Amino acid sequence: MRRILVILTLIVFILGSISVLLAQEKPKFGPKASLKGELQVYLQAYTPREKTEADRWPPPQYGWTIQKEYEKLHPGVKIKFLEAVETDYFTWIQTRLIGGEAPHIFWGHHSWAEEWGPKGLLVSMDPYLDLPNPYIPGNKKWRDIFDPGVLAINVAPDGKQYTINGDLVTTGIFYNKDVFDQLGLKVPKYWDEFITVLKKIKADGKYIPMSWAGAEKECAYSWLNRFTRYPLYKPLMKEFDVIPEEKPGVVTQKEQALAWKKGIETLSSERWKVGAQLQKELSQYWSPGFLGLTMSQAYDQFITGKAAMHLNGSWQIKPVRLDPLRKFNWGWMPFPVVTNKTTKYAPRPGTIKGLTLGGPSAAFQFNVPASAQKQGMLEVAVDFLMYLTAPKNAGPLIADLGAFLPSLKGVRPAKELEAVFWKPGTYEFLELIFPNPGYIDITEEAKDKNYKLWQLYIGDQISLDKYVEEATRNVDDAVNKLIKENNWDFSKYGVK
Amino acid sequence: MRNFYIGEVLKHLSIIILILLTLYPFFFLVISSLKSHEEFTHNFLGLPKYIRWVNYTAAWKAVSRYIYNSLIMSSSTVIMVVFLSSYVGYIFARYKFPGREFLFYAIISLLMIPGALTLIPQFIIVKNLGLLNTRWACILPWTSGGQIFAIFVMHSFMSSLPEELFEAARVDGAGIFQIYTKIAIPLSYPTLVTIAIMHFVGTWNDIIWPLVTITKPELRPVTVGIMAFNSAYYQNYGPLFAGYILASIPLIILFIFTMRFYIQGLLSGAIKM
Amino acid sequence: MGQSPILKNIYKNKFIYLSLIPTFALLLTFNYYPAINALYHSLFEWDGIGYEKFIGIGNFINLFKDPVFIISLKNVSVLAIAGVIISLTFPLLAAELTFNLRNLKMQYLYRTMFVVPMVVPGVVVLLLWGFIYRPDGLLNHILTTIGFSNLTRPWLGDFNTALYAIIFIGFPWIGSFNYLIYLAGLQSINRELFESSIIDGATRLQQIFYIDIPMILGQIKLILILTIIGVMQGYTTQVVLTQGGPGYATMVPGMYMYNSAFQYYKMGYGCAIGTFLFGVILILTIISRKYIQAPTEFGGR
Repeated sequence: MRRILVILTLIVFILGSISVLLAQEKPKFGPKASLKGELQVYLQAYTPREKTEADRWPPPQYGWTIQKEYEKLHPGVKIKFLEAVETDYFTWIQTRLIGGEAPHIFWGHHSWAEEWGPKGLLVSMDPYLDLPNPYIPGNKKWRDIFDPGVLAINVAPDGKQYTINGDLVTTGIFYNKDVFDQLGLKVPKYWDEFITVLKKIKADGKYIPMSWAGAEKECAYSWLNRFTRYPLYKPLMKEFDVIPEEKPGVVTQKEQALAWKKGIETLSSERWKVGAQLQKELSQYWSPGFLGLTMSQAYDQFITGKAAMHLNGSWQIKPVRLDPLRKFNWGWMPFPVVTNKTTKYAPRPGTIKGLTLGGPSAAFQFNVPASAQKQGMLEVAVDFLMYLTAPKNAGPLIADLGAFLPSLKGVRPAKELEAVFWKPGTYEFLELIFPNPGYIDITEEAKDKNYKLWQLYIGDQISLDKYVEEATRNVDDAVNKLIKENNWDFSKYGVK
Repeated sequence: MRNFYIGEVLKHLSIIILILLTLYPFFFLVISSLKSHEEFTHNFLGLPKYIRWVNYTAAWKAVSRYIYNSLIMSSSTVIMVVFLSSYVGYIFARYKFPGREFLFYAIISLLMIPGALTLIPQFIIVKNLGLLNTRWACILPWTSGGQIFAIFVMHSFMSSLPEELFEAARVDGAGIFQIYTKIAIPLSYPTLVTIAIMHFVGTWNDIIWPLVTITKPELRPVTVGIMAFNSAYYQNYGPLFAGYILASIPLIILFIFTMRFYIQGLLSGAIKM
Repeated sequence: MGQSPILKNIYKNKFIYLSLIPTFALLLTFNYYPAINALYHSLFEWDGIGYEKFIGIGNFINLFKDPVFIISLKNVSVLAIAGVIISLTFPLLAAELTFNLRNLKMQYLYRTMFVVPMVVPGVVVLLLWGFIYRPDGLLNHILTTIGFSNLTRPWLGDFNTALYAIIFIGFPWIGSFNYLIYLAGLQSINRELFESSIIDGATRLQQIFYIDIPMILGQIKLILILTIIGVMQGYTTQVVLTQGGPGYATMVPGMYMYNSAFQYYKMGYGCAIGTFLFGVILILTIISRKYIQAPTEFGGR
């Protein structure tokens, strides 16, 4: 009898201890986690601001709601939004990051993160993406709420995910409806129609057919390359997408480097040259002196009625809509698609529907610096990111700014954007599939140098062959540098 | 007599034309600061159709809370630079000692190092000294950099003073520091004002360094307050220009009171190589 | 054995060395360390963060094989020559005009007006000139109004005009500092020289060439050296207005150095450019000092 009592007591004691221990093991993330510290956050365009009487439209303020609610959940945490660093942000963040003093969560363009991450400046998000996000009911893995294309594209050359994304760079062509009606023009869907429209506007002589910011590397050169070359290279996806462990259906930087080494479609191929020639053909319809125009000047030409068309992004809808001095009706169209009616390297009309950039992340792309770990704020940063990306929070945040389409599952865009951009199934987000058709932007340095070469070629200062020769050298250097820095071993693919 | 008169008129006319050409860009700045951003776009060159005072009230709200910080930081570094540069300039100018030439040129040659390369090392030093997010993060590097040119100017000036003044004091038994305070300084007031103003203006308008080293909003200088009107995707030129003008007002006030001495200091004729 | 005379000299001047300590403490911490750090790293292949490899003069050899660097040298030489000519003429012209006025009150007013632009940050001035050069900006507007619309150009967008547009910024180039330095030099010329030259029958123009200019050679040397230092290192204008473009039409070593260091993660290469610039400026400064002799020079005690 006494032995049974002792055993029972022992069992009760053990069970009791276990349950006490279990109860004490608080979760690391989520509303029940106990976190504390001052979290410095730079949300870029989502940073909430006080309204002033001189604002062009009300600034985003939802960030404060998020801050309040999060601090209520975690009384030991203080969220500090960093402001006013947008003049030459890159120099600012580069200095702070290398100096070990970056904000615990900060905005970083994914191409920058692809260099910072492998150099050890950022914390990889992979281990956390595989955990359930406690702020999303029913979520099994955090990575499930992100668009898979966006995730795959943002993988750094070392195979790790350093960026947390939430929105998209969606671009297209704004056009002056009144001018189109006046000249009896139809909205072009394909390149040949596009050229016809441009020709007619130029012949009429009263308007610049298309304003162009040749001085802006990203918007006017990078985007242009993608739009003109994507239809030419998409048919070759299978040849590029050859590394099985990298996400299928997406061409990554590593696959591009491999393709280059294998000699698939170099810059001296006809296909590549056709892409350059298309761009040159388009350039004759651009604003005179476009090589010196900034994006804001190109926009000004459109909004004052001098130019009939203007390539820009979803964030520009706000200024266009809300400009009290605009004297015309406007519309928006996706970039016309190159088809086999123009060149044999492009597919049939209708194979690729409308084209929009769909750049993986605009203002909602955040990194966590390695210094956050040293300062003991890593868990808080990850937890706040989990909270931020929960659709019930990210949705109103992104819609409040009203400038970008969200890329998170279950989040609807702002109404004004929905009306213009959001027609699912009507176009492809090319950046999420094949972000760099034609190789040339493979690293920041190659992008910069090839951009200058492009200016010389478009400006009739060098021949196409010279352009090809110099650009090839830049890409060669870039690919070799990437391989060396990331220790990629391509021997198993039959390349030295 | 008539030739003389025509000559004078021509001289006055030429100067006035040069002044108008010099000041035109700022005139454009003022005019543009009175327009809304949209009007600036649509009516780029014309006069504003209606004057938008709201630009100035909003800019004032954005900028005023930082003026105090700029005042404290710029004044502190100016005081330090005035003292250091006048003392060191005096020593290099009026005393011979081993290494004098070498040390002097070592200082001046620092002007020839391009700035972009020193940004990150300087940041790391300031961080390691624990000065980030304090006013000293700006004041000390400003002082160190600013004293270089100031030492050069003070040296030039001190070299030009007649030796007899110093000889007399030395005969009376005065030491190095006493001669400095009793003779050198009183003679240099205008030049001191000149370097003070140049350094004040230079540090007041410095954008990058304060931006990088100070993130606490309470401590930021006025150049940062203006950034409120520039966001990553949109500009708002009207209030931005108003902000630049308002941020310059303390400088203009300073100028009104010290212009005479500033010019006098540069006109003392002694600054040359 | 007796102490060496140098050591004795140093000991005798110990108070002087003590007085120099605050200045040098600051300089060593905030200026010398970063500068020497930069000079040192020009011998390395360095990404600015962790990866470092000693390559001796490898960077410098690559620099001179780099077509971008060569073009940037050509451009900066044009800018330097233009800058020197400009800084030696226009401010001097304005100073001479002011100096020769009879009316002292007006002289004082004009002096003040030339100095006012000092309060505005340099970046704002560049921004304003960006507006002047816009295709719909002031310059083209004026040209069209006075009937020369065929001369209108996209000034910053044309390969042939971009560099000259950069030179033209700041027109009429009467910088407050340069202007006042020249004026100061003119005012300090001994009156007797003017008086005796009048007796010899000199015209004002002759006076300018034979008296004014030789007597202000010290000021001229100063402005010359400061201009060289400024132009050779400069890149803010390019960063704000052209990014070195179109193509490489306005690329300068300073801008290439900035890009290499910050954007391409080739910090060692950037340091090599910086070291090269430092060397060139130093040599030019020494040459200017040696070969432009002023008739009056004061030394120390």
